[in-house]
Amino acid sequence: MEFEEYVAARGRALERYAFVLTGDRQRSQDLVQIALLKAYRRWRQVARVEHPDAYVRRILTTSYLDWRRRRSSTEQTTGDLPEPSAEASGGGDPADQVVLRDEVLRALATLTPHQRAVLVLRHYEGYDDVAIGAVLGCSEVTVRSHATRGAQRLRAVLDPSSQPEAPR
Amino acid sequence: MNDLEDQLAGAFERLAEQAPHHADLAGTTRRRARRRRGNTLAAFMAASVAAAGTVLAVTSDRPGPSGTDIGIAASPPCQSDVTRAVLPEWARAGFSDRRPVMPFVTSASGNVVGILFGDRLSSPPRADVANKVLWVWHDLPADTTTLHATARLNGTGPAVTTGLPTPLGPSYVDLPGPGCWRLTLTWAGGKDTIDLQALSPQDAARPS
Repeated sequence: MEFEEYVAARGRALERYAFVLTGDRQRSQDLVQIALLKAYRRWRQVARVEHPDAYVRRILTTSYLDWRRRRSSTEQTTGDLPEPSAEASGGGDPADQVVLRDEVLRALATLTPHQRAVLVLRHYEGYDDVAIGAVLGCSEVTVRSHATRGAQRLRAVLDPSSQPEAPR
Repeated sequence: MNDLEDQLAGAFERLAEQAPHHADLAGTTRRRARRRRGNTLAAFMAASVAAAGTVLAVTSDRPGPSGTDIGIAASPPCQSDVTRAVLPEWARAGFSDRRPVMPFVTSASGNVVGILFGDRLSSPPRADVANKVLWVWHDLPADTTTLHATARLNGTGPAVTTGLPTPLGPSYVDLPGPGCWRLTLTWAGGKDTIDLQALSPQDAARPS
């Protein structure tokens, strides 16, 4: 398979995956470019492996984790949803409707990078724990741990009254 | 599947639908690979591009004022890409959230964003949701009194000047009809464009 053929077939899926991972338009495009650039430089070897797409996704995911790791030195995630929901505020302003719909997405922003990556691979890509572990370079046990903690975190953020959470 | 997993799957799908699309991923990758092989060649290409007055869809190593790379063709087709993400840092004034997530459109230069409080623009306006847009500039023109806006359907139709907001601060953008409208912003010594998609009230009301 030529590089152009691969990109034509899988490029859009990579863009979608990167955007779901990051929630950031610019960063997602950067990650796709980083992954494709690395793959392009050694395409002959990549094309020979059984699943070139898995290789490219692993690069993309690793780059995402690296980016989040670097960013975490200057930013702290928070469990607080900063805007009231439309229901809580009585609705009315269209901006509140946007906030309500994006509540889950904003709650996702409070996860650690590994938690988010696991949940995206599991619930968006439909990967099983073995495949997720292969992408992230960790064991199935670790994958399940990230998934469980991520889900707990989301529940706590989305419904703080139901699951009080200790400070991180 | 439990409720949270349902919500997650739905949220991821919604997010994926908003993923930006680069029309020439493979070409851009090849160009970047070549560019990194030699800065001299890259500089020559950049100079040639600038001289031609055209910016190719090549990702810049240096982000623009919005932190976004700018890829503008000489006359690209009118296409309004609504981003649903954390607003650029310089566009967050007035939001209580430190990292507000809002739908917004970005001008061709990256210097202006239009934050869509109604999510989608409707023409004619819907009865229950206004076409409220908050315009935020990274670098304001020195003389804002000369700021003027015109809109053209698909970027090529007859110019419309009446009923358009002066794109500073919040405004209600009621475009003449459904379609992609290119706003051309001019001021003393400068020009920028920003594409806005107006839907029919029925389409605008549909869940995204």
